[in-house]
Amino acid sequence: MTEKVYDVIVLGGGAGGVPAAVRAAQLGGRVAIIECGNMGGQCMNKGCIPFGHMMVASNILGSLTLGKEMGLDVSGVSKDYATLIKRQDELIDFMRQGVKGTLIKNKVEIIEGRGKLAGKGKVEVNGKTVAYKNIILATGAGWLKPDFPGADLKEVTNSDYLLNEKKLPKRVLLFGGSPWLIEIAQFLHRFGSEVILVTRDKSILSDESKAIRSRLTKVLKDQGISILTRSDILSLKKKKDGVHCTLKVKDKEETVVVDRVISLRRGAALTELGLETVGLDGKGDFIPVNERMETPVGGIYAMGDLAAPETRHYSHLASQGGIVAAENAMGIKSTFDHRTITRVLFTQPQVACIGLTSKEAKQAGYDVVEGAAPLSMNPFGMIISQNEGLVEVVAEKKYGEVLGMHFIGQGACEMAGQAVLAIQMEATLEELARATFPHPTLSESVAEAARECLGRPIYLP
Amino acid sequence: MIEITIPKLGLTMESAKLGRWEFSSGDAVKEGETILVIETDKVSFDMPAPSDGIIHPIVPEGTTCAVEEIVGYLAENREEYERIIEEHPFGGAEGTEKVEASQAGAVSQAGQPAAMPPSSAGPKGRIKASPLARSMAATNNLDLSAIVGSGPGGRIVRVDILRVLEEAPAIAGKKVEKPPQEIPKGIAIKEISESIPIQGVRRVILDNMYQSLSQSAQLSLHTEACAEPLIALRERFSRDEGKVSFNAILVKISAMALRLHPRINASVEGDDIRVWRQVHIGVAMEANDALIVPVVRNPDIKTIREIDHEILELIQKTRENKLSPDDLANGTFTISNLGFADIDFFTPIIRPPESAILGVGRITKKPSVRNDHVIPEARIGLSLTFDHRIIDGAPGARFLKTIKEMVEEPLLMIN
Repeated sequence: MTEKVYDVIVLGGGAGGVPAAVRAAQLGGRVAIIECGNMGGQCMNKGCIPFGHMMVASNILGSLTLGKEMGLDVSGVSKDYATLIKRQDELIDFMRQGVKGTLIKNKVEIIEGRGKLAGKGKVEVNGKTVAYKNIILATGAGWLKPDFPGADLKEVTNSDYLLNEKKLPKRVLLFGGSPWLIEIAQFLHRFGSEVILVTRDKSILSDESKAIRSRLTKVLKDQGISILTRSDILSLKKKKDGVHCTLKVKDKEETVVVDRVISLRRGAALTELGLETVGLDGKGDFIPVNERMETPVGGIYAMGDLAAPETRHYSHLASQGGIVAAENAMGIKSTFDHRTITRVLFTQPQVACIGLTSKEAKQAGYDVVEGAAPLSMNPFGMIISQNEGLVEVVAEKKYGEVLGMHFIGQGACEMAGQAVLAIQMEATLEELARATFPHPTLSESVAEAARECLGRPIYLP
Repeated sequence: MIEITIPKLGLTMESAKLGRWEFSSGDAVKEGETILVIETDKVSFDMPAPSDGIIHPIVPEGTTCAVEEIVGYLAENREEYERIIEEHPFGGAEGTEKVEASQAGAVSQAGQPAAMPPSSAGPKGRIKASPLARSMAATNNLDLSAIVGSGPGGRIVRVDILRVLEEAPAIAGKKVEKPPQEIPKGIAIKEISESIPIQGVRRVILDNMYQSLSQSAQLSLHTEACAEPLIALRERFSRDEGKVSFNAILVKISAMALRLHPRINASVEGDDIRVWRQVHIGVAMEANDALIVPVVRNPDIKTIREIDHEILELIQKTRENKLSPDDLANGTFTISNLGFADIDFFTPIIRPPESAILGVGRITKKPSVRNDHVIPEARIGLSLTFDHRIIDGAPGARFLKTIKEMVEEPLLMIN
């Protein structure tokens, strides 16, 4: 019998599956990746890439305000959504080819089809059974039906809808606690839609620090976006002039008329995976794994959206998880570093938060020191009018351990990269305070926020 | 001011690793005290202080130094010491400086004096540790050089310090009432109780043993000899000038047997079998948790008494860490004696590039058949391992038989 047995099979070719397959192949494994749709998964096809692209367009429009302050008055801007989508599709197509090329270069076998576990050591795809020693489950997450009355209406939709339209709706209600709704709200607003953002939470980004939350809320409201917090949908009725949404806003009832209701609710893609055939129950919201991405069943790994709650659906989490899973599957002991997962928002201003807020740090029992440096006091921040920008550093007093760093402002998501390195390499406040950042840049505020923690700011009052 | 230099411990020695400074800069040392441990690929050597003085190392631990290289100074008095430290700063100060920098931070932050006295931040090689780990170590008065890092490339990171802090009471030797160890129920678990880095002499042993078994074809033969003549010979010697060891007699016997079987006294070098003119026999011994094999030179032309003296000297040097690489080099045959542990027979492993090794078992009384009568008789176990690539079974067996005969009839040595 000469049955082919793969060292590693990766189920799902998304942000986590692709690096998992490549890493396993780099380590000398015989590897196959099974994908039923387009390579690149949610991130590349329907998430980070198309919406990142949209947010750049949206940010260009936003930058015109600064241009105007500088005497560059660009009037009569035309916004052709169809052109934007065309460019985006070309970009994604190019990236998909890149991903395929990377897999082929690394001798990863690509199997097109829907894979399903069929007992231990076996997976079924296209009616055939394929044998493996290790399998990495990387099927990601899918849309869940929203949980408010009237969710069955065809006007109730999710972000996929925006990718398939030629024209954007005039009036949109965005409902839920997902941070991506904030990006979509700003984008639609910049492209001319009327936008109402409704959440049950006490605030948008309710888990982030108060400074970050309140600053972002203020900017969005100033930009003309309605934000209703502690609110809910009571009913949706379709009428001639649109969808009548009856809302509970704090204690009052209010009705708004819109063309679309967008809600983002995602859940791990657990069904039809055949989990029961290998002894995994698949009963929770996601597959529980340890820091080595191991499921309770030997030789079976899971990572990314499939193995995380909705609040932690990030591509960078999936790709680190994929690499860790692949290394462990190939016999290298490797662990996942949860400390360095950044929560990012590509709005204008951008938001990037890593690690603990001071409230979380105190709850965790740390003796906390905090420092914040507003970008309105940073020379480059002043040049580009970053009035709402801020760098916050949360640290622990005894050793100066950096526990969290939070950024709001232009380039926050890029600045977060230095926070990732600082925390990963275990820099203390001393190192941050002594870092010589180039001038004039927003990054200088990182050093100043650290010095503020140490009680020795140079420029802050 | 006296310069501390790397001594030339052997003819072929060109460099050595500076293993460990026993003192920190500014410490007063007495003449003859060990100040420095030097490691060659074969031995570690305790270097004594040449005179009393105040020591100032300039080369960090772990550095490989040439013979005669200056690695530190010994000052006569404090004034001279102050002058020396200005002129000759410590070479690998990076690790030290960083610790001090983070201490400065602790001072400005908490307004307290740094916890660690400057001297214990003393001379250390570059230690890979995260800034956080350094800060934690400084605050808790931990020596980073004693901590094993689990980060990339052995970098000491936060979790390593946390682990040490958890274990700290045990390390400090304080009496901590340990809860009685519970026997885990259900699955048997395997936990690390100690992790010993493979380095120095252990690394050499590990490499040699592996090389030995992976690069030659080893065959072991066993036989037993009557040990009564051996015991009688030893007693006869003792009546004159005191005892000689069985090992000394067995070295002599092996040397004389090698003279009769010169092809055993050989090595494989490239495409040739080199048969050695001289006989040099290594005697395996245990020192400081390591196996060490000092070599007796030309025992074939020495008396048993001379051989015995030489072995005693080598044992003394081994115990004091004073062996030079020359004491270990160029053996042509080895004897390993495990009789002390009641071993009868074993399969010793050849020390490359040698081609044979004699394993000596215990001497014990056993029933023996003489003229159809069972009598009690002292017997000794003899095992020979040889490299079957160059020594065939029959010549190997004949060599062992010669040794057996000489043990049973020592007069044959004058053959």
